[in-house]
Amino acid sequence: MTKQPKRSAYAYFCLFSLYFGAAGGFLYPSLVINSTDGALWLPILLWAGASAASCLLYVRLLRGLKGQPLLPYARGLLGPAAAWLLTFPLLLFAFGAVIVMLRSFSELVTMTLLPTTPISFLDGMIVPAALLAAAGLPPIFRAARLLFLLAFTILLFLLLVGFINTHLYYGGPWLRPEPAFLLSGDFYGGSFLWMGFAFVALCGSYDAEESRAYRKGYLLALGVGTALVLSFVYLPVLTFGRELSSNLTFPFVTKMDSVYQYWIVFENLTSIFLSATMFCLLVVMALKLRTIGSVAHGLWPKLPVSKLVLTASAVVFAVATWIPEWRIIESWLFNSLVIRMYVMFAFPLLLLAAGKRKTAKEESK
Amino acid sequence: MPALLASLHKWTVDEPARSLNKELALLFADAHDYICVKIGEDGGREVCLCYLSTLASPAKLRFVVSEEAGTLESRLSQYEGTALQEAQADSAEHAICLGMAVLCMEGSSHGLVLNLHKVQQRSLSSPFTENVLQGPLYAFNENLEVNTALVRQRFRSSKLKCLVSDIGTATRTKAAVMYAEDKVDPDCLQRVQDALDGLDVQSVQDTGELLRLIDTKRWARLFPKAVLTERPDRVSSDLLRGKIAILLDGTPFALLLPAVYTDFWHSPEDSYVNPFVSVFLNALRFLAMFCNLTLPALYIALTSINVDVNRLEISLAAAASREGVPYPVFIETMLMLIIIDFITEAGTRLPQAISATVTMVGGVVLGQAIIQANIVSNLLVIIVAATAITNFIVIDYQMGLVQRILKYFVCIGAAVAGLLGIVFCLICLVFYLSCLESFGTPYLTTMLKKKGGGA
Repeated sequence: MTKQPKRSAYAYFCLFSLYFGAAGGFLYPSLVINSTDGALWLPILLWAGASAASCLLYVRLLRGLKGQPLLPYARGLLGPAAAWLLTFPLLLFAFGAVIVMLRSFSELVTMTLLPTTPISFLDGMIVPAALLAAAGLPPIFRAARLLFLLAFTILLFLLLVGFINTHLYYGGPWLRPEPAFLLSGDFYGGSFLWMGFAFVALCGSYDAEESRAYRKGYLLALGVGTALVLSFVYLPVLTFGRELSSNLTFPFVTKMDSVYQYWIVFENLTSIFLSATMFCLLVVMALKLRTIGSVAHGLWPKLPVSKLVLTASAVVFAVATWIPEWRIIESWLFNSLVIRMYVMFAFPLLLLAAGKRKTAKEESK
Repeated sequence: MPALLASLHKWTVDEPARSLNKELALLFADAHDYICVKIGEDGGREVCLCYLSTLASPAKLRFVVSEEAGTLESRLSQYEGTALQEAQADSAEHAICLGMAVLCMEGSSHGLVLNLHKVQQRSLSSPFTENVLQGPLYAFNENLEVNTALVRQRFRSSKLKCLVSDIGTATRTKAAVMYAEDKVDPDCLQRVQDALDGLDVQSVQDTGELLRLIDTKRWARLFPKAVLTERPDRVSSDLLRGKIAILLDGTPFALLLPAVYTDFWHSPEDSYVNPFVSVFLNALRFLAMFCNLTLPALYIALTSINVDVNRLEISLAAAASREGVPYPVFIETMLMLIIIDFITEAGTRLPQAISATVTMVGGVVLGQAIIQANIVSNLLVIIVAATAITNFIVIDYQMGLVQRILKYFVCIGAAVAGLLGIVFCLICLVFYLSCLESFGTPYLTTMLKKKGGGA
């Protein structure tokens, strides 16, 4: 058995940053642009704040795990039946997230680069992610560290290039908040972007030191991720204006398509953007599949995680290929809000409360 | 030799069914170089010296010719060598195979081993595979003792440990495991020792073969898990970085492990030149690696699938260059890559005098002819030539071979899904590398120097 070193804050930072890179450039800009007529940064920062708060809840929970994974801890704390009941929604959440991610990227590739390639073939990209997930969490972190360098170098270049031909007055209103966005489904639909920390918390073992690295890594990545997301949202708006951007399904992809500079060797920057996203996406899919394996292992402890991961990957591939149309994915984003809120806040709060109750009971004895 | 014979007398008491000299004669029957020569008598029993004339040198023995009982006899009078050891049939056989001589007396099952070992070796020369312009210019040879001494001459400390064991039931090849006691990772050392102890093979001829044997995960064998080096300075500096060196008798290459991916891209020279130059050279190598993997694949992707990704002028130039070429881009590229690999392989295997001609004929004449025959485009010839050059920049020969294979894999990816196919293949490669471990050390560890982890 290989002795695994502690994961550094930098390793967490890389993985969390890749999560933002993988999920931020497709649907999210459109959801934010359509959610409000006021300042666009407000919904983004609101979700970033909620994400930080939820992450700190998880950190508090992970701090007390004393080197064990979260789900066996929950099982020990609540008993098998209650733990099963509490963790089953996590499984649904993770399945939904990875299916949506796989299918939406395949759709995007079909729409932009490979129009004649069948979706089932493109969905096959899950295979390396599944194998990486089956190999364990340390290889995922190692791959993330390397791919972060590749992906973010390209993304940084694209963002810098994206600022060409932008006009600040298109981005307004800059300071007028419109609270109406709180009633918009698009605002809540965008919550999927801010949940990377939950996947990492649900797999892997933690102690006080590890949870500190987790917190530091996520908060740093949240800063970078927020800047990245602001760019994904604002660049198309600053180029096309609010009105036109709100009618685009993938505003940032369209923005990339519109960049033309004689000194750039490539004419079609969409393909470069998709390549950078793919670097992020496959690692994040591996992470999500690993989470499914870990959660399923928590529910059925006798089954080995690697087999659960491979089975889950087959199910994800089948469902992602079977989805008949794009609208189903969009509706899932809106309808799964309750599960996402449960994962972000209810689940850690319930476990923290149960832990506190147990400690109080033990002290009274 | 009165003392010597006195000790022989002690062994005459057992009176075995077959005395040692007869046992050895049977074991070495049909070996033309096996010599068993009578060197005297003691108490009416014959004393003889047995050895392999090709491995042992009787020059360390002094004989006197004397007249006893009316006849002239040669008798052993002096032996100059290491301390005597006692041996029975098995150990005596092994000792003879190592180049020792065994002194046996009739009616005894024991013998005395005399070290008459004659060293067969070439002298020290410059490295063949790790040439440098600055730094030490000598390399290991095939003698384990010489190689160990070369390392010791560069690492003069009692902290340097050297464990020796035999590998191979038939060849009994000596392997030396060297490490710095205060630097090595004990877990890794234990793994290496367990792997060596667990070997059940007839023979090991080279450290490359040894590496294959101790690397038990079949699916993970594509990338080398240890650096093969013939430079004592590299071994010495890596020992100080916590690595373990395995030296094998009969081969000039030492194994350095655990190895991580970046180890294969560092030249020993990097430590001897200006640090800025070193960083530049390293960057150049990684760039070359990236070009080697992606250049032919990019040509396939950008001229057949993602034509719109390129600037129009470049796409038109590429299309013009391909005018008249009858094959699809993928076939055209694979054809050229295979031809260039043929030329490389021919250049490597042929004697140096002919290999230059082959390279010239292959590279220039064939290249020119193939363009004129409209079999491939001009652009592809440039790309393939650049790919071949970037492959030669790879420092480690093993890694260079892996690179040669991988570019085909990336080309297939490009032919299937264009740019995304290339990216997909690169991601698969990163995933594969991140799953690998070299004796407990992750293959994709940090590039910073740290204990046991390599570069």
